[in-house]
Amino acid sequence: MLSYILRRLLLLFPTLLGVLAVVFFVMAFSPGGFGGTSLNAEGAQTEGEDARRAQKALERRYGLDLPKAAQFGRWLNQVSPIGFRMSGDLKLSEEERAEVEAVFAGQPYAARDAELSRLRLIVETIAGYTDQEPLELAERLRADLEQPAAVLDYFSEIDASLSESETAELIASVDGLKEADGSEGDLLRVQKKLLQVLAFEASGRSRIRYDRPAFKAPDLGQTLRGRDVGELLLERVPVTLLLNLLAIPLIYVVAITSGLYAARHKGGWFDVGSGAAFLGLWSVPTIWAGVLLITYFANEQYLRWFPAAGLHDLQASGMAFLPSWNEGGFERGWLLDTLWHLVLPVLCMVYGGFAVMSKVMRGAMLDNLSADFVRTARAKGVAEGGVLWRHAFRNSVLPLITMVSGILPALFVGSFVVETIFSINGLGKLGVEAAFQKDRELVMATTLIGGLLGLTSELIRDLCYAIADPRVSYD
Amino acid sequence: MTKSTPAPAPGNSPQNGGGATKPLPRSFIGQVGMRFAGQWGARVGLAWVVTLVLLAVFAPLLASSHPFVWKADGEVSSPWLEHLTAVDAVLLLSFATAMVLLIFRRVSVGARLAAWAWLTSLLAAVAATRSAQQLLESQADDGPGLVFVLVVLMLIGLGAILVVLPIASAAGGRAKLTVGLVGLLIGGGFWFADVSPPANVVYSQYREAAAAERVDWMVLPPLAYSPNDYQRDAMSATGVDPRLLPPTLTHPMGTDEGGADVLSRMIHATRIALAIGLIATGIAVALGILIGGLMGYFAGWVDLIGMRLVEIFSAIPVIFLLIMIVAFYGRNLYLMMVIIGVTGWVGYAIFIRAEFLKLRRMDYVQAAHACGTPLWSILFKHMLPNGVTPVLVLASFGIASAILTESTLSFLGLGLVEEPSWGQLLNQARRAGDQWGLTWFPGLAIFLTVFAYNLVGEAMRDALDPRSAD
Repeated sequence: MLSYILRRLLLLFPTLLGVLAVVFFVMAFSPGGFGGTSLNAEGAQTEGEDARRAQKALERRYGLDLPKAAQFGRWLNQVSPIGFRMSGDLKLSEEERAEVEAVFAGQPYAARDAELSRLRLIVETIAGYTDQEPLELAERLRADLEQPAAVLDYFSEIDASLSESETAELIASVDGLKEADGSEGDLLRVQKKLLQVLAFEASGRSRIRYDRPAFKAPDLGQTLRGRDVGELLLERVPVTLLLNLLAIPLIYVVAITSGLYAARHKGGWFDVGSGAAFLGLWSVPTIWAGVLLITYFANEQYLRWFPAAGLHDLQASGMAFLPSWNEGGFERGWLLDTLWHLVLPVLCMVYGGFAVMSKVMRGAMLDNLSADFVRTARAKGVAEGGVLWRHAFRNSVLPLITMVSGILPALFVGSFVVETIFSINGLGKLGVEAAFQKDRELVMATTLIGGLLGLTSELIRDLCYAIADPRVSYD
Repeated sequence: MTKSTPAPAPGNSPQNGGGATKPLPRSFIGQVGMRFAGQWGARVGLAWVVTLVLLAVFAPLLASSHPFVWKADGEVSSPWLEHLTAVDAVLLLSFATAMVLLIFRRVSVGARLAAWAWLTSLLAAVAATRSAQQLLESQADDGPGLVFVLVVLMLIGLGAILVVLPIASAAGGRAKLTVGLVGLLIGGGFWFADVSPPANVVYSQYREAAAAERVDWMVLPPLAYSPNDYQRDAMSATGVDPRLLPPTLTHPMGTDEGGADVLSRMIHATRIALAIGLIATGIAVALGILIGGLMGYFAGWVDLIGMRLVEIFSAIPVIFLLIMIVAFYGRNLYLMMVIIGVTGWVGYAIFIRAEFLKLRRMDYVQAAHACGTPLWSILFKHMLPNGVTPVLVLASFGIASAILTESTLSFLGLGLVEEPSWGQLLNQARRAGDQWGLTWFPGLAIFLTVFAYNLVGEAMRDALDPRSAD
């Protein structure tokens, strides 16, 4: 058994890798690429310099100048808990920073604090990227800034992808300096210009340092808007989990009771009625159910019994946790408020499950009730309750266990739709938004979570199966 | 489904001749067909699907703003005929051929099916060539797009069928039937989908002409509104805002957000619903049989790698992948069909694999192998016919889920923009206010269609289950 679990766990990784690869390359080969970079925040087409800068910043963050396979490798390295460090992660200590800043102190181009720290950042990044001693580099840079032509070499050192016109512009300004009389003002202007471009090209430039793999904190990266993906997931996953943790037991309880009852009274009114009703329910599209529920139960026009959107009231954060009575009358409290908001979404998620599961339960129960061992039990004089629960029921649960693995990913998918309809900020809605925004890190993170969920539920399914049925053994 | 006669027809016809006089056909397929057709679920489901096919074929006859014939400014003309699209024409003509072929009772079903597939392929090829030509002209500046590539691929497929079908027909009954069915699938692919760029039509001209009394007489379709007729003239002509009107006699299901007639859009949307279900499932079944068959036949390493593929594709939620692909590659009906197909093969593959793992140990397979029969022949001629029937059950459920997926995508706002689709109409229901027609009818249509395919699937499963045979 143990070896089976180990084998399954080992096989889980290539599969997960495959899932991630499929999603990654689908995105990487798309004609538009990552990020809606050609549109600015107002949705208008950005042009010229702005668009190019945004594109470059994106390229550096995702390493888009690398081949696509290397980009994927880089992302994997970033999320894996064991891996190579990125040069951008190497930060200087406080003393080193002070030393580097001291090198430039007093120079005309480093008169302000902001300029000084910008220089320090340039040195920090280039030193990490090219594997040089920061202090030596700082000294060299200071010397080179006196003859601006030498600074142009730094751009190739950090693999900066300057456009031809930019390069020409920089060279022209440096050349213009030679022809001019070399006055202080001109030199300072050119130095500042060079440093500005260098700072932009250096910022965020990072590459894998293939020295020694080490344990590190897995990093899911940042969204296009600059939020930490891990943080965002921690915020969203509990919401989806809450929805599912309410939905799954509900599905099982209803399915098992109705399936048992229908099988017990085969051909009775409940059996026929529930059979037809569930067959119909199964075909009702979630989107329609959602629309109907919102229209008729969360609408001023008809019944305003439930809220139409969200997970909490606006005032929910100020409520007590439990319901209470005070001078203002009844206050429902945070818990009840949340449950009140969850009624419609959960209803929307579970009705399909009822239909399938209770049909399966009924079928399995019927098979077992007509089996020889049940007849034997009856012949031995086992009480009807014992026959039903100890003999038939135990054997009928097996197919339900198999279906857990189907139901977990299905609920995850269902939450895409349900969360979007009811505007609940969970994982599903996050995934939809991530795709709309072409946010690579967010899409990959959602895939990672979804894939892990699907694969582990399959594993759990097989293990439960072995536990529930002593005949099954995987060795 | 592509043929409008009830699907069990080929199953009912016994293949060992003379069975027509016997009360119960001996062949397995015949018996299954009888059991299938005897169930009410199958009848109801098939009746609904046939209704949808009829609606899809006759959509332009039922709902269109163009008068069939009119006399305006002293001239008699037919705007309806002038505005008939390539797809409309292919559908109507091909339906007419099917009706004509139904009359020839003496010719075998296979031969009639083959003839029909050939004629439909010919019609589709002509229409596709014209679409490709129009597409090339309209996209001359930014080069041929993905749609163009797909159209060309389809043209090649159609060409192959036009050539192969007559040759195969000469060879014999089985081959004729197979190629005919494949031809139906590919030819049918063009049926519902129009790739030619939308023409700019002024729908209100007829109403304006009538109001100006320039028209002597005109014959209008029963529902005088095209799906994309947004009634831009209504505001100035009658002073009523045509948007989101609740159902009335002129608009039996009301109007949508843009002012178009909902019933008209619903009728025309049957094409997309049928096409996506059939084509996506067709791709999924073909892929599933191929991959599952290879996995089951070779077992060992091939199986191990195949199972990883299966796990990968079952671990990615299809809806998520689709949302992503639409977001990254743009909205495209064809791409949607392909993706639903490419991600949906897993179920079929697992099934065929299990079946083939059993079959490969059978004596007749071993014998075929020992005789030096080529691999494709062992796989597809010897093993497949013995393991493929239950796949039909899965396929029926697959069609239902493909339709659901498309409507969900359209509901989320990721479907087509101009073309009508049920999901897109349902999406507007959230903002419809008094227009209760949007809340009920599109949802009901999706529900009934999914329900119909599920009923057909259930009935097939029962019919194939040997335990249910009396």
